[in-house]
Amino acid sequence: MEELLSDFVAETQEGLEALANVVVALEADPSDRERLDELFRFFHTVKGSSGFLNLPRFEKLSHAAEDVLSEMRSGDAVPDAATISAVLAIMDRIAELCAAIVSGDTLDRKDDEVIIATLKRCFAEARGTAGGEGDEGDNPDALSASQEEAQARLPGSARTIRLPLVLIDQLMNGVSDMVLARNELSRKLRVVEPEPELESAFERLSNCIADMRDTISKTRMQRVDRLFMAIPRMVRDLSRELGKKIELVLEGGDVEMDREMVEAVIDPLTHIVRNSIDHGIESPEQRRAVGKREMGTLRVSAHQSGSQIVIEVADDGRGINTDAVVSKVVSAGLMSIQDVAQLSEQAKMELIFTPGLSTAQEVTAISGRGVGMDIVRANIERIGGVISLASEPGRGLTLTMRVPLTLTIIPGLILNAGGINFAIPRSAVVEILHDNNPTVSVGQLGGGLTATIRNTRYSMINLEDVIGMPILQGQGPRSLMLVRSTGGKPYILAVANVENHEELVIRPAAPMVMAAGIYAGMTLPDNGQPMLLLDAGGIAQISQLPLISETVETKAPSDATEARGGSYAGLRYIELSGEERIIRLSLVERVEDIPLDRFGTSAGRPYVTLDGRIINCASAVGETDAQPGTREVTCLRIRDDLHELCYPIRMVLDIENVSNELDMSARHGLVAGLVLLDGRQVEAVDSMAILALAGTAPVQPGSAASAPARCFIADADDPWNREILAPLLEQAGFQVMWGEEGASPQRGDILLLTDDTDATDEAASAQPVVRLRRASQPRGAKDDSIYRYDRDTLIRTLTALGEGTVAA
Amino acid sequence: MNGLYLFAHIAGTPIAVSTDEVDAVVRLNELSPVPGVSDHVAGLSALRSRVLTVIDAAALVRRQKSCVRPQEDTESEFHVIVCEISGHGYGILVDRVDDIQTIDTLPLPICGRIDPAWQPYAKGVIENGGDPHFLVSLSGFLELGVCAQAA
Repeated sequence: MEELLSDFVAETQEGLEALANVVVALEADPSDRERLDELFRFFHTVKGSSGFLNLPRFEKLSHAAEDVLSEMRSGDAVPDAATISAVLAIMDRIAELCAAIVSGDTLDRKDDEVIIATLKRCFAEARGTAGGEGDEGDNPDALSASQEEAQARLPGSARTIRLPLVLIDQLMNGVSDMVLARNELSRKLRVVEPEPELESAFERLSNCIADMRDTISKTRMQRVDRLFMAIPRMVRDLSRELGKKIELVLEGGDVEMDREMVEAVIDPLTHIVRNSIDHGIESPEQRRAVGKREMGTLRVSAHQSGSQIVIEVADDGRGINTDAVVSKVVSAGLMSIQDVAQLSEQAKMELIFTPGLSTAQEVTAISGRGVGMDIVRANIERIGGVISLASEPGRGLTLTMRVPLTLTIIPGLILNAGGINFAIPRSAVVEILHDNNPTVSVGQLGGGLTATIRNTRYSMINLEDVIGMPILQGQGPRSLMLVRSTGGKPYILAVANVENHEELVIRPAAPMVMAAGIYAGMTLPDNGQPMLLLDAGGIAQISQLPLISETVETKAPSDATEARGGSYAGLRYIELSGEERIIRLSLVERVEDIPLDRFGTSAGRPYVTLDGRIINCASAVGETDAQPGTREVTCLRIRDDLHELCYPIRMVLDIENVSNELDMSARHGLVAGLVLLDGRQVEAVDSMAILALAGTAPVQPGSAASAPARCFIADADDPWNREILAPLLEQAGFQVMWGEEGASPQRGDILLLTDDTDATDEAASAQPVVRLRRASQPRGAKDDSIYRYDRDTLIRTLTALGEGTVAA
Repeated sequence: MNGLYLFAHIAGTPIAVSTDEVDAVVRLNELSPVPGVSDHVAGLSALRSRVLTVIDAAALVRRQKSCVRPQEDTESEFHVIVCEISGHGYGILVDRVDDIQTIDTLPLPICGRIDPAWQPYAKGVIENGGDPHFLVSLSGFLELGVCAQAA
């Protein structure tokens, strides 16, 4: 009896889940006979079973619903919203009763009566409006009843049985055992004399085992339908509650994924759908006001892409209001305004995933989104998935979840550190580089390691330091993995090397192993040596990485706030001609190895073809300039807002912090002077000169309307003038002249003087003079000089002088 | 309790474990190290398709690595008592396994002032052929193992 009862509960619950869609569909199209039949069959089955099992409450409820539905089927009544709602209420009640049987709770019997009464009343009203036909429909004869009985039997579908999950897991374990035994056998076979017969038998065994493994894996698969089952009901209930009209489109329900995966995705998906309805799709009035269809569309789709399932939730609502998200992030103190300002539009949108944002409830009112999105992302990433979003303000939002097919078998990378092998989920690794790669530079400051990849700085951790093993020397270049950690910032994990990748069966590790905080589980790869799976997020936490965002170097070299620090980041490299030089890092867009055949010369000018464009090249290159053993030349790609230049070099050395003040000003060609780095002289490249190589003079914006004022800088040898002032002026649209031999200020020029320039002989000239001082405070009341970093005043004064509105 | 006990030595001390807790006793010769965790986690070992977390019982009791613990690149074998506790497979590394015997008498209370290191683990005394053995429980070892780590 116990067994029968639990079977009944399981069947009923399954039936209820499957029916949630049906009811909603029926409401949309009341004439849908097939759906009506389906619903009727369910209640009929429940009534029958509950009568047999002596469950009078189930019987009463299902009987009431069956009655109503049977009249609808016979065409005596048309389903209307109120009646369908009442039928739904009965279904909910049946679900509650099922749950109560399982948990042993009791539910108030009176509520049943109320629900049944409501259904009857609704139905009576519906019939009343439908024309109040007579009572003929109320006494179905014996014949029609038996017909119904026959129809109520489920049509023959593929036979299924129920199995306890434990059994399937045991089967899976058994198969894993077989695979390991097979591997061992194969190792043993390799040492003995080859015997064709034995080998072919072994081959057959191998194939059988592989097939079996596949089949058993399939028993764990479920259709995504199950994931979608709850959505129609939720959309219906929520849209009613909020007074919105929403059309739901479900696609790809027949895609299959691992049962555990389905369980893991249900919550995030529900959350996202809820958010879309609650905050994304506007009310009918708002939609009308902005010229959209009153009915919003919510599209939930799934498809398989390689070893991943892609689930997309797209709405045509208002999208993400990035300004609101940004202001929320800033006001919550999670990021500074400066940091936020550097972010791209996409990055700003992704701030909705910022942990801590969710705790502030009012964000829903302001931005529309952001409730618990960090948790959604954490949940998706925990199962090795990725979540991304694309929002078009006013047009809608699409959230895409990519999750692996199964939880227990994941693609993993096997790596080695301190002589021990570890695994890491493939999904956690963004990029792998060798530490001798020219685009990477590793720095150390006070014990903290940083690695800079293409101008982005990351915290770096040696895995050996985390696990307390010595770093083994002399094994070739180390591998740097750019690792994405749940919720945190990406960082670099350095290991001895990355060996290969393998599909790994992941098992949970023992608590005392998990307690270390750096492992996510353990696995048994094909070689039979147990291995631990690393937890990227845990390692970041254990190492107490600062949670600062990656610092993107600002592009403008003349940014006064940067210069105030007195130093800039410089890239140290070796020229093709052998000199060691240093160049402002902000000028270098990236470092690239370019094949020799891309280089060429035309009319004496060297050029290079990159990404389908022809770009000026600083010098012609030949065979001898290629890196040894390759036919590629390392190049700096240099650009400002107007110019682009490819600058071939021998090799990149490092990134250094260079003082703005040259230790020795020795301007010659590209070189601005010398700086001392660790006691060695290095030539500092003149930023202006290198950009001048980029080709034609820049077209000054606005030059057609009025010629820009020319600034005459008296002291051309002052490195500050050259490195800081000139780029600033150029950027502001002024032309810069240098006080070199033979050059003298002309009419209309503005003369710029610095402190140490001898002012007396210049004072007589007819040109307006602007003095710059080094000290931040004026020397006296009569001092009309401008502090040299007071950019705003300087530009304002120069502009005013250029227009002749202010007399000098 | 069926009265069947497994007798072994941990850190030179004779112990008895109820066989209810024991899945098997196996000899292993390979251990994959687990860096970054407490000393008493000796490593991981594969037993068919199961992965066992091998606990160095001596290290747990005496807070020092046991002498039987295999050194790297030696072929020496060692004994572990295999058990499953709350879903995880463990191997308890012992000096040696002596015997399995049915003892019908109930465990005796501990007499005498015992080594404080054993205080948390010893639950009683079982006599086998006149020799006293500490009665220990494997799950107790593991619980205390986790606590020791937390401390």
